[in-house]
Amino acid sequence: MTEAALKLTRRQFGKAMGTVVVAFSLAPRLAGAQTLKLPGSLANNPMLDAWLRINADGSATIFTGKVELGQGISTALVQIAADELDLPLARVEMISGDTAQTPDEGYTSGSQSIENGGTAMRLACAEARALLVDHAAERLGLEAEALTVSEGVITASDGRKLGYDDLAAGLDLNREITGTVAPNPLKGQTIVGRSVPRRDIPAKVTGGAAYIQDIRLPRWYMAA
Amino acid sequence: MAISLKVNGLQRSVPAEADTPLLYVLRNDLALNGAKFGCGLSQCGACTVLLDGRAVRSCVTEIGTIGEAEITTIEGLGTVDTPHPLQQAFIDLQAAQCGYCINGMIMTAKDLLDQNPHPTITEVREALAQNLCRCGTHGRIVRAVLRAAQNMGKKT
Repeated sequence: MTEAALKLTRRQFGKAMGTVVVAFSLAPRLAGAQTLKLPGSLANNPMLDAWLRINADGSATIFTGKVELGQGISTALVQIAADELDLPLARVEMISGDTAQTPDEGYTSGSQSIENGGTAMRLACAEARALLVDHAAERLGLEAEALTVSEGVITASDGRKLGYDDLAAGLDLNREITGTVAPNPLKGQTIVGRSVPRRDIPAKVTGGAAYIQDIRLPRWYMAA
Repeated sequence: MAISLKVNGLQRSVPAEADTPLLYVLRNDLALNGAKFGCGLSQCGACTVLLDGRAVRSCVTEIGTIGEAEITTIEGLGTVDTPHPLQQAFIDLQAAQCGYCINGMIMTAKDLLDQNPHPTITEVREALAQNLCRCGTHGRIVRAVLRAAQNMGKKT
């Protein structure tokens, strides 16, 4: 190892590793794709329904290609999504690292999960929320500006209300993210920045399935 | 061959040789996630279980040596819905980062509190000194054990 390499801080090292990962995976897919380069993990995964769905009961299920390694992202990404969707924390569930369901975000390393995954989740949820509002405006025959959103319920200036549960069936998230919807400003966030109980800890203190080696397939044995 | 073991109150028969480490039987044959494979050399404590109430390293405990002794894993202490006071204290104080060592911390602490229900902070630290954690919750782990001792004292 060179002297310069030894002088790298942990953070610099992490960033460098992250850069390598992105560089490998980005190149083939971006060729001739968009003019606007979407930020973070959206660049590789631009479809809105890769990131979330609104369930029939008005709750949300979000998808991440990043995995919980004890860094807390199974809680942090949900906080980000809940704030952007204007949903209570308890009404957002997350599916992580299931290659059949979640976006391909490459490795979980280099302190990039919030940087890239969180950025993508934030913008995707902001855009989904805007679509819900537009959809409600259409149903109510009003301008979107006349509507407010709180805890998954959209309220019109005349008092009429539509819940995400009312709107879920008519919402089509199978579309490319534009990246043009501004996320909730920091001062409007009520969940991000607050310390909330980690979602992974109960399983980790009771023998629940929490680690990769807790996956069991038929006739699969571990030894060392 | 088959060996009979009493695990968390149930008599279980496992098709394994007598020199098989208990940890392998717990994880492979009985599909219990609690005890973790860390070092396999009795160095780290992630695999800790109780044998007749005393903490042992299951990675170096051969099943042929166990006989009638009762094996208790962290699954036998409590569940997410009905946690043992130690598990509850670890949740309340968020005393885990990656969490891989926590099984050993809790099982070793269970042995400690059964022997010494009101340990000092020094006694907790000494009891856990042989359980390795390379994350950042050492202080919370010690406080969680003390909190559990306090809460268990209230209930009796």
